[in-house]
Amino acid sequence: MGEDLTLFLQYAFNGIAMGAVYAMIAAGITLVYGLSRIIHFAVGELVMFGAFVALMVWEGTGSFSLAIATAIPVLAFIGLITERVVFRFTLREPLTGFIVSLGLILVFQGTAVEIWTANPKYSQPPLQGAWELFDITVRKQSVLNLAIAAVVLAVCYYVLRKTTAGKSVRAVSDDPEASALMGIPVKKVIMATFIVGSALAGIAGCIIMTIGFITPYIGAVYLLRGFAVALIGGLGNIQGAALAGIGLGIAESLAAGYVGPGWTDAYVFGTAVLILLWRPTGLAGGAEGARI
Amino acid sequence: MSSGSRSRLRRAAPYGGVLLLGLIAFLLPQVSPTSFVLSLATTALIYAIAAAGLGFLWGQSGQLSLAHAAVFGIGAYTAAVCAKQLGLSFAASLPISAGVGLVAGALVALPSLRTSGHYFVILTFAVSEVISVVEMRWESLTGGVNGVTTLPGAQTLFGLRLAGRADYYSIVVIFAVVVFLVLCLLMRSRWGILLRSMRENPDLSTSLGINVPINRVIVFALSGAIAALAGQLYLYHVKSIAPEAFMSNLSIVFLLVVLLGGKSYLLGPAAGAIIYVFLPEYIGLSPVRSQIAFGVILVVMILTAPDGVLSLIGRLRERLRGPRTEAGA
Repeated sequence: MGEDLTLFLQYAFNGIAMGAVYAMIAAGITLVYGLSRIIHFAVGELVMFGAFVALMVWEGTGSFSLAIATAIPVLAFIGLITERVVFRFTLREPLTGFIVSLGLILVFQGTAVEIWTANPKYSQPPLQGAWELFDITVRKQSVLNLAIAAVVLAVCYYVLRKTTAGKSVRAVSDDPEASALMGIPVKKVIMATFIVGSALAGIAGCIIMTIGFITPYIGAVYLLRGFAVALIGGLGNIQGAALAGIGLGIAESLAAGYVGPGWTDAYVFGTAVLILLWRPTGLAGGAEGARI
Repeated sequence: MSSGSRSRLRRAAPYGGVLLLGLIAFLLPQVSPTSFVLSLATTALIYAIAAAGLGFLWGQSGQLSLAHAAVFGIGAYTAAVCAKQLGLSFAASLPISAGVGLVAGALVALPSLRTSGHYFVILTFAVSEVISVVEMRWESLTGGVNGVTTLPGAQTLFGLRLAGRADYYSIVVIFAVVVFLVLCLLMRSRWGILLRSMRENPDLSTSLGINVPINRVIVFALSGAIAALAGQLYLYHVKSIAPEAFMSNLSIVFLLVVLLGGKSYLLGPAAGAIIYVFLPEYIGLSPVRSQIAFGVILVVMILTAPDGVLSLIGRLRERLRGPRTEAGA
């Protein structure tokens, strides 16, 4: 029994570490959707950009904190530019915003290939080594990644729930027109969510850089996981995203461990489709009229 | 000319237009362009067929699908399996791949019975990723990441050799003309009106006794069958296919092709496909740079001319002619 349990816990731990990353991506998706009603499909490419920026800085300077500290402003800037230049003009017609984001996928992917070539890149994780806890191998890097994700999500939650800025974000999400009448700068708030959402994708990219190979084409993988999590958690629902993220991470890790890695994606996405058919607005509640 | 015959003429005009363009396309090999140009033209026509199915779905019924590349891939793989494992000819496997595409399209549409809008589009994307995984992993059927190769050998269709560059181009022209004629017929049928009413107001359509969900599934199935047909044409064009050819990027490309030409125009996808395939070649862009360029074009188009280049022609004509007067009516 002991060995089975150990194996299970090992898979579960790996899953939680990965799931925290999905939760971060999903939190960004949910924020952007909650306020602008735009399905921002280029978010996978933002993750990919974050990963490449972090990899460059990490290999150049040997400092992982500096890598994160660079990736956040770079991605925040991309978020700002995309909102100012294109998404701002699509707020009345969210479907247009969605198609714009599809165009951005092509642009970002191509740009990444031009800058970093299409060859897979790999770097040694910044933190080497692992602890042994009850026969489970706990990689130090995984713990660091988990800690980063937990802190970032907690900060998001705190800002949204406890600060005036967060209150105005929630107000705009509930009723943009009434918020504007109350003197909330609605356009600025929406711009801020694009910045924060992109930065969240960037941080997720930094973590993904420490886990394995990256190529300019990894976007679709994280896009779909991010959206699966955001949808199952209920679009517009951050706590739901955190829970669903961890859940997806664990489910994926168990499927890979017990059934074999090749078909993981099919199981995971298949399950996501079934869950959404059963509960179209997600398991944790939340709805088209999203709650943040 | 009496008004009756004029309106009859007006009604027949689109069919004549399709036939005329088809004839011009058919004569292209006679002016003997290089086999490179013919190969590009074949690709453009195949994209036009696939995108025409998507354009019908989107323009008429207002539904967007990101699973179209996957269904296109299913058509190509079905044709490959028919040829390699069942030893069927091109003509014999055509109804099979179109039929599988029909079923696949209907399956993709099934979630629309429960969800709509954003959720549904994301679901079509998820379904297309699942299909990609299956293509990648079901190695006995699909050859895995290496894909499959099919050579047409000495087969002929309509007396044309499948293996000949110019002959195969002519075959694809014939299919394109048939597909566009059928879509034209459907667009102008009562069913076309029904689809457009569903697009404009699903609730009102339901209250008029239209079974909206069933019609959604049917139009999806139809466009799936067209995409799969294009997939088989694609297989016999490029001979060798692998899963990465049918990833989500191709779905975005189909969308771009529809949008470039104009989603409410019958020939919009054809115009879009010609631009998409020939433009980078003429400017001499590398595939990566043209991907960036088309991404930018997609963004600019949807923001400035969401009805496509064909609408620009109309706008231009209106400007030259000045505002429309009552006299013509």
